[in-house]
Parts: sequence; C-alpha cells; structure tokens
Amino acid sequence: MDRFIFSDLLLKKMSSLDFFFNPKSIAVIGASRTPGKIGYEALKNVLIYEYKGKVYPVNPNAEEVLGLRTYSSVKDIKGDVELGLIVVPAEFVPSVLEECGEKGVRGAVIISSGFVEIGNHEIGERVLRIAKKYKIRILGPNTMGFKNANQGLDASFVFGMPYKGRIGIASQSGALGIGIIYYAVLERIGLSKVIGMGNKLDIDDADIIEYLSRDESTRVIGMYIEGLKDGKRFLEAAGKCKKPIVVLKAGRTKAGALAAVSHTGALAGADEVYDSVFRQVNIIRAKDVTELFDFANALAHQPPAGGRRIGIISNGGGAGILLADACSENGLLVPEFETRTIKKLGEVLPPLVKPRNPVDLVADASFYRYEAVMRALLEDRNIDGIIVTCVHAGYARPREYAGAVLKMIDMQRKDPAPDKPIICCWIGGREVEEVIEDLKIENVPVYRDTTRAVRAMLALVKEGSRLGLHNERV
Amino acid sequence: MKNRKVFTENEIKDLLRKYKIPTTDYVVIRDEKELGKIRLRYPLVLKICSPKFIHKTEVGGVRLGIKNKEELKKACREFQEKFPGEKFLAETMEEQGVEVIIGLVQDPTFGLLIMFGMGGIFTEVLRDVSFRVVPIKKRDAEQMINEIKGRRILEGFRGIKTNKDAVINILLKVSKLGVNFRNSLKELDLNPVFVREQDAVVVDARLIMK
Repeated sequence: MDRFIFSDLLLKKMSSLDFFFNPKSIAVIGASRTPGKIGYEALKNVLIYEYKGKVYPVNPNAEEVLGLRTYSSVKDIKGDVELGLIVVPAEFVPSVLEECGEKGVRGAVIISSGFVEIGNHEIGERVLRIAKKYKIRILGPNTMGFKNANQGLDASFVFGMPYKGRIGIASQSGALGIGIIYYAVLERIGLSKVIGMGNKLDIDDADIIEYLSRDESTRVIGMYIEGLKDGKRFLEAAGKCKKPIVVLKAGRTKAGALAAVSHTGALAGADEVYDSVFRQVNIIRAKDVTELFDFANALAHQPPAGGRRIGIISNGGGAGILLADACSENGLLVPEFETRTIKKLGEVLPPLVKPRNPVDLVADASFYRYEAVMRALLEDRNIDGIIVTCVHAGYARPREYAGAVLKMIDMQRKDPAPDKPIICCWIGGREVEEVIEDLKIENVPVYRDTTRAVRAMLALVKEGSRLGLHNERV
Repeated sequence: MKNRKVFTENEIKDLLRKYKIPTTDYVVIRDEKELGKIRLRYPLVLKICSPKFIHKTEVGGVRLGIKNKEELKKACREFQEKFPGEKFLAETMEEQGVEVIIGLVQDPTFGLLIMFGMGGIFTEVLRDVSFRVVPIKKRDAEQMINEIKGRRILEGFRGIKTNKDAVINILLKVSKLGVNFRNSLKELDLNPVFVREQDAVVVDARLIMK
C-alpha cells in the first residue's frame, strides 16, 4: 500500500512538465548570427517578448550573437541551464544532447529535422537512449518548439505570439501549428500555450494532456493529432483530465480493417474507432481548424449547458428558423417557454408577434428589446442555453444588440447564477465585422453563421454532460 | 482453450454460458445414428460444426426450419455426404427478433474493443456501429446503443417490441469476457443476436484467438 502511494506520487512529480514549459534558464544550442536561419530566429524569439530568465547562446564559431556572449559548449555555461533549444543539424544532436546531460539540463526542445520523418530511425533511438540516461525530457524532434503566451516565452523558431488566453493547443504538425497561431491572432482568440509535438520521440499527447490539465492558465485543451503512439495511455490521460479536450484528428483511413476475419473486425475502421473511443472519454471531436477554435473558444469563455434545451433570439424569422434546424440536426431541442416567459415576452414584443421559441424580435428591434428578451430566457426553467442572433437587415442596429449581449455577459460573469451559456451569431458585412470585433475583445463567443453557433453550443452541452450536469442523457 | 486459434460453435456457446450470456440450447451429433440424442423443440436448425468452416452459410452448411424427425434425418444424411467426418450441431430455431451484432476486436492503437451494431446485411453496408474500449460501464453500453442510427428500431419503431436492457446486459457480460481474454483474443462475433420483447439471445457466434 505504502509502496503504491509512493510510486504514484513519484509518477506525478516526474510527469509534471512545468520546468519544461516555464524554464528558469534557456540555452539556444546552434544560435546563429545569420538572420533567417533557424538558429538566429529561435534566439531572437526567446529575447523579444517578456521572458525574464537567463538566455545563453551556444555557438563554437562566434563570440557573440544578438548582443549576447556565446559559449562554445553548453558545458562552458557557469549557471544552471534548465532547457536546451537544439537547432543543430540532426547528426550533431546526439553529441550535443550528451553535453546537455553532463551539464544537468532537464529538458530539450529538438527543433532539428532529419529523424524518423525521413526514415532515419537509428538516430532517434540514439537520442532517446541518451535522454533516458540523463533523465532529460525531449520535445520533438522535427518540431517548431513551443510558445508560452501567458509567460511571454517564445521557444520556437517561428515568428508570432498569440494573445494571452485560456486555450492550450498542442499540434503534431508544425506547419498547421503555426497556421493555428496566426488564425487565433486573426480571430482574436487568446491561447495559454502552443506546443508543437513533432515526432513525439518522448513527450507525447498523453504527457501534454497531463501537463495542461494541471496548468493553471489553461482551461481548455485543443489538439491536432495525426496518429497516437500509445492509445491506452492517451485514453487514460484524457479520462482523468478535469478540463474539456477538443481534438482535430486527421487520417481517416481503414488500415485496421484489412486483415479481419469476422464482421466485427471488418467494421473496426480506424475513424469509427477514434470517434467511439473519443466519446468514451468525453473528448469533443472537431472536424476542421475552424471548429477546433469555435468549440475551444466557447468552452473557455462560457459556462457549460445544464441540458440541451436552447432558446433562440433573432431580429428576423429566417435566421431563427435556420438556427432551429441546425439545433435539431445536432440533437439539441428548441422547446416551448414557460408561461411566465411568454407573458414577459408579450409585454416587449410588438402586438402581432407571437412570443414563441425561436423568438423573432422583428426588424425594428432595439437595445431594450434584446436585453429584456435575453433576460427573460435566461430566467426560463425550460431553457439551458441561449443563442442570440443579429442579421444585418435594413433597420437592424447590430451595435445596440451587441451592447445588450455585453450587458448580459457582464451580469453573467459577476453573478454566475443562473449559469446559462450565451452564444452569439452575427450575420452581415463590414459594419457587422466591427461589432464582432467588439464582442471578441470581451471574449464573447461570436460566430458568423448559424451552424457554427449551434455546434459551439453543442460543445457546451457535451461539456455539461461530461460534468454530470444533465438529468437526461444527451 | 489454449494453443488454438479457431473454435467450434458449441465450444463458443459453452464459453458464453459460463459468462451467463444467453444463447441457444444445442446437441452435437456425428451422424444419423445419434439423432436419438436430440430432445429439442421443433423447428430445428442443423449446422456444420467444424473449425474448418468459419463461414457456415457460404459452404451450404446451415439448414433452417427443419419441421420433424424425417426432415432432420434427411438433412443429416445430406450433411454427412457433403462434409464427411465432420460433426453437426442441432438447435431449436429461435423465434425471430430484431437482429443485432455484438463483437470484440483488437485495435492496434487502443487494444481490445467491444462493438455494437444493427445486424443483418445492412451492418456492413451502412457501417452503423459503435465501439468502446473494454471494460465498459452501464452508461457506455447505453451510449453505444444510442449512438447508432438504427437505435429507433430498438426504441419501439412501428410497434416493434424489443428489450433494450437485455442488450445492455449482454454488452456488459461480453465486456467482462473481453477483459479476461484481453491479450489472447483476436475477434469475437456474436452475430446475429435476436432481440425480442422479453429477452435477447445469441444465435450464432465466432471466436478467433491470436
């Protein structure tokens, strides 16, 4: 018994990667004086943001790089080095890592490529042996590195820092990981960390889930995965994780079904299996990059839904019907309101408009009408979440409606009871874009089309189900 | 069950019974002289019972709807000629229900999985199936059923009466079996399983070990 507890604690301690993603000191091994070279860009990125720790460039052929004194080996550095950022060519990685081990470096980001991705297995195995010998944790190889946005540390060779936020992203693909950063900046979605997993020689998806699940700045975990090295460990980590996980999984092949004799075997295609096991551990699967962020952003900034009954508010019948259709297609309900809600709506709606779900506030809707109806729906016991829409029609006042949303969200954030999610759907052109920007700055999940808004709500409904907030099954 | 890869239907059904998974009563015979052993209710089914023939229907090794002793005798003789030296399995023809398939299969990434789907020829055409890693909980079993499109048939579509709890019960027991054979089992196919108003019963089964 004692032994079990001991090993459990030891495991927890060892799997904590905080030293890795929040290191006290960094050596850039292979730092270059030539702009454009990875060794130059990586060092520059470490220096240009808010990183407060010690930075040591290592380059035996230069005396200084970017105004910093260089060292010919990591072993020549006087102080402690917690993280090594390795950018030397693949063939030099083993010897450089050996030196890191002798120096007592605890983690290494191997940005260098030329490993298993080009069919070279042998060098990766050598690197792993050295890492095990010195107990060095490895990210990569063949990775862009990572960005710790909340600490202002850029340990990658790619330019660009996302807004600080609550979403921790890990990507197997470097290029897509980079694209994701720029997308998040464009969409004004804040991130806590962006981690390129590369070849996953050591640190893999399960390690990242374990780390981000304990990382205080991360509320939602988003991942891009092509293949898993250890499916069982991945499921164990995901099953234990207390935070929502959204996964974008590529590679919809049916390799597993090839050698099957039975019906069961023939039906166990890889994609169906991924779909099913993700559900088993409550992972929310996104179908593309847009959905990955649509889901993650809603989960990061709105409470989970206590059920699947959705109230819809619009300033035009069409959008309301489209939203109701999308709800139905995605297994969400658009129920009748309580009698007291119908009475309240009757007081603010024009005489000819029926107070029913979806609520049509009609063309001349104002700030007040949006506010009053949102408030009424948030108080309705038949409703678990609301989707507020603005279509930029002739008489519409998108800015006023956004104002009403911001007022309600402000109220929701100050007094989280009754805790119901609010999702926005703003449809229109340039003028609407400005309003969307205002909502985004306040971290209001806002989407430019109906299905996206409904699917984001679905993510909040699934999260509510994961947390056991639903009475009924979803 | 060690050192073998393929098993005959009677062996698999004995194993299922050990795990309290409802299946048919059967008698195994060698030839028509042993027909006296059979004390089952007609109509009967006669099947080839040999590890050589995993796909019984494809080789003409299944005779359905045998109404009386004469027909049984005739079928038995024909089988003896067609499959000399093999054994045959006779069982009461089960009352039809909604056909579902329940199985176990090894996945290269996640290990042993349990599968549920609607049975019959549509299974493979529509790929209307769901999976979970074993072991599963009751909630997982319920979700497995809820995830497939054909679930409406199990929810009383057009007055069809089925016992969903009986399906959940089989899923949980198959999961238990799967846990015990986690490393040695390759594929298990319970197909079809008849789901009826009162119960569910495994009509045919296939087991392949690694």
